[in-house]
Amino acid sequence: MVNLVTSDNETFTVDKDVAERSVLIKNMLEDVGESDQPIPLPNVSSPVLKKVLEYCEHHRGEPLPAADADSNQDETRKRSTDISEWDQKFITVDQEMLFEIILAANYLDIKPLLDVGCKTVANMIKGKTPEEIRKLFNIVNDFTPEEEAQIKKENEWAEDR
Amino acid sequence: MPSRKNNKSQWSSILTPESPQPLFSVGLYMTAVLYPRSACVSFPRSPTMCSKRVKIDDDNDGSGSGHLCHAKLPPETWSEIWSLLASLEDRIAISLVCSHWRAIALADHQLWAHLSVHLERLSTYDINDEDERERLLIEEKTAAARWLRNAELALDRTCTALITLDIRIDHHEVAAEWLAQLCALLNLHASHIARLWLHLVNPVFMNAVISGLESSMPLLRVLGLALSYRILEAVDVPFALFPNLKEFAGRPCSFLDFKASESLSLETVSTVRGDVETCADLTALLRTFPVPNCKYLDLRISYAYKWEEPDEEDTDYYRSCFKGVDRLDLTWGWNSYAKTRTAIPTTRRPPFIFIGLHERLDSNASQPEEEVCMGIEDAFCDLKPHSSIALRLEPCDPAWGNTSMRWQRDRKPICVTVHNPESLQTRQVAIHYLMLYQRPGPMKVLGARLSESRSLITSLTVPWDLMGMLMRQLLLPSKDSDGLRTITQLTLIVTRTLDSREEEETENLEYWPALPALRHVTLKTPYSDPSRLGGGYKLTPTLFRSAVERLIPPPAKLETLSLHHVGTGYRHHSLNRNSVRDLATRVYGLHIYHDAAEPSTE
Repeated sequence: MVNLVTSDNETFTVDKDVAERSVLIKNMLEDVGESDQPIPLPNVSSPVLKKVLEYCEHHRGEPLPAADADSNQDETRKRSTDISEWDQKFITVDQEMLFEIILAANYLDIKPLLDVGCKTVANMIKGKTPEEIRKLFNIVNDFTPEEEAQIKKENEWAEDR
Repeated sequence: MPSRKNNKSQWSSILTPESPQPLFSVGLYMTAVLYPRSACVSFPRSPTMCSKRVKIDDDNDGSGSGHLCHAKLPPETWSEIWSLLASLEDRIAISLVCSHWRAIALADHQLWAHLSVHLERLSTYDINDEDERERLLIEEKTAAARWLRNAELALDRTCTALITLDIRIDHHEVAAEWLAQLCALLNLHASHIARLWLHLVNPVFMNAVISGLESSMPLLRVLGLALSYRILEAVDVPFALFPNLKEFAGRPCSFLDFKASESLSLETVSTVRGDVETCADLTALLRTFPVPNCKYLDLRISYAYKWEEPDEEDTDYYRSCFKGVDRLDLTWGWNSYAKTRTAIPTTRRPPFIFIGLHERLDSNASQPEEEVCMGIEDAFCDLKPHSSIALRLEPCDPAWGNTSMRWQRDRKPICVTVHNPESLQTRQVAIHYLMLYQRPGPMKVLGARLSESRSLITSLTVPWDLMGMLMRQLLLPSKDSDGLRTITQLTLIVTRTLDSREEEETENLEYWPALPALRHVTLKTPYSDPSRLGGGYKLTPTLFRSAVERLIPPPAKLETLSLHHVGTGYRHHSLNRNSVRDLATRVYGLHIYHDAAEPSTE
């Protein structure tokens, strides 16, 4: 069993093989060796860690992607933004949680979870105009009039999609 | 705390994505305006604005800042996300959202370096209305022009990143100016193009492009030139511009009049994908890319007329070439296999051999079943006796599948693979589905080959529907086949909904033997199957249970039972004693990791 302490000081106790889905934690455990010391995760809050652990629990036992497999699979992975049914249900959360999960997956180094998060955001962006994307993420168009003019000139085709 | 909660709800009501500009108060007005600036931190503006932003964030205590969240994503994560956008238009759109996104996108040269486009033909022959045709032709032209304009924009942003281009245009009318512009674009970025695949309708368009190439492409590794109609002459391809070419694909491309010379040798090419229709074509191609420089041959061979067929001397030459490669993929048109099969070496064979006999079955195929049987014989003639193998029969999309026809999910060719993990020898035959599902011969030959070699199967993958037929053949020589006693892993591929009330299901199960060494059983739908998104296929519980219990009569030592996109049972059957859960826990004493694989029983 491994104890994980979140930024808001909540302790989660999980099986080692669940916690080790995170490469960060796996490396920490390897460095520290057998120890009951809780692992502090100052960048992850308890609601987010709860969610992340739910993912790790579900995918426990599955082979971890090898570090060098990346380059080979990159091309195939790039082409596909399909998400499995369970992952899709799992990642159906509000935008705040979605981005928190991505950040946590990035920090904890859980590549498959990061992939699911990235694919979800990519699917949200797909086929949208810049204006629709701004609306989606609440981003304000902050281009200066000069930049705007330049962009317009450069992208006269992109506007009428 | 109540005030904080209240604050949060105010936030969410004001800054929901559906309501971008409901500005109620000065403070909130500021948040709405300033928040994106906080997202767009790459160009900090006045200090006063920054301090105001900090203050507002503090007020909010971070608890309701859901919309600020994406601002925390590091640029490399954004790059990662955007790299998943296949469409060039999507990538351009993200560079137009805000200055922060634009800065990240423009700094990521790789993002712009992979262009893949398929411009489909809209003005097809079945459209008789002249006006409609005219309109569709204009639409095609606009799409082509827009793509080219976007491609120019994208490639300008690549800096020195290696470019890969995959361009397929099915339009039957392509303006000469457009082709010239494409040439100019390729010439402009020639110095760092690493891969170029061009699929055009005919040699006229193709020649317009390749004859316009002027700049050398020193980094080009892969060149693919494909035509929908007629043949491209290799003499027209400016190979001299590609001094470091590793892979060449010409579909179809004739090397008959091509003369390699000292100044123009194709020694660097180690992978050749070709499409040949006469024996002279094949000879010319093999002479142009001599073994052993060439390590991987992927050829499609089809002879339509008698005079196109090879004689004995030709066949001997082919065989000597095929012996020297590491990997040999040969796909045949019907009726051509029997005429060239002797070209496949029987000794000193390449470690990897693929024989493709999966083409669309038409009325011209005179003896398809015989050809498939020969293919199986030839592929598996050198299995090492008594060695452990993995046997896989899987629906697949072979490289030379007819691109104009989409394989239906349970009509896909079946690829039979025998892999020897010790010697790393791989033998593959892709077979038209009808030849396995509806003709007895091929499965019989496969069974005979495996039994003769006394191969010990350790891992078996097979479509559910073919399991009975395969087992029947493997069990025929003796009721207690050695080859089956070693199977530890079994994967059953489910391509449709299976119901125990159907007669054919009971018939299929009749031949399923008990596999004494079996420890791991997996049921899955194929990776590309569209049903995956809808939860996969269902098996009736009784069928599932009788199948598993036939293979592993309890109390056997089953270690894993996995279902991937396969469900059993029906909704509302909460107390189903034939469910996966019940079978796994009660009968085999397995621990259930998660029950999501079986949504319907819960």
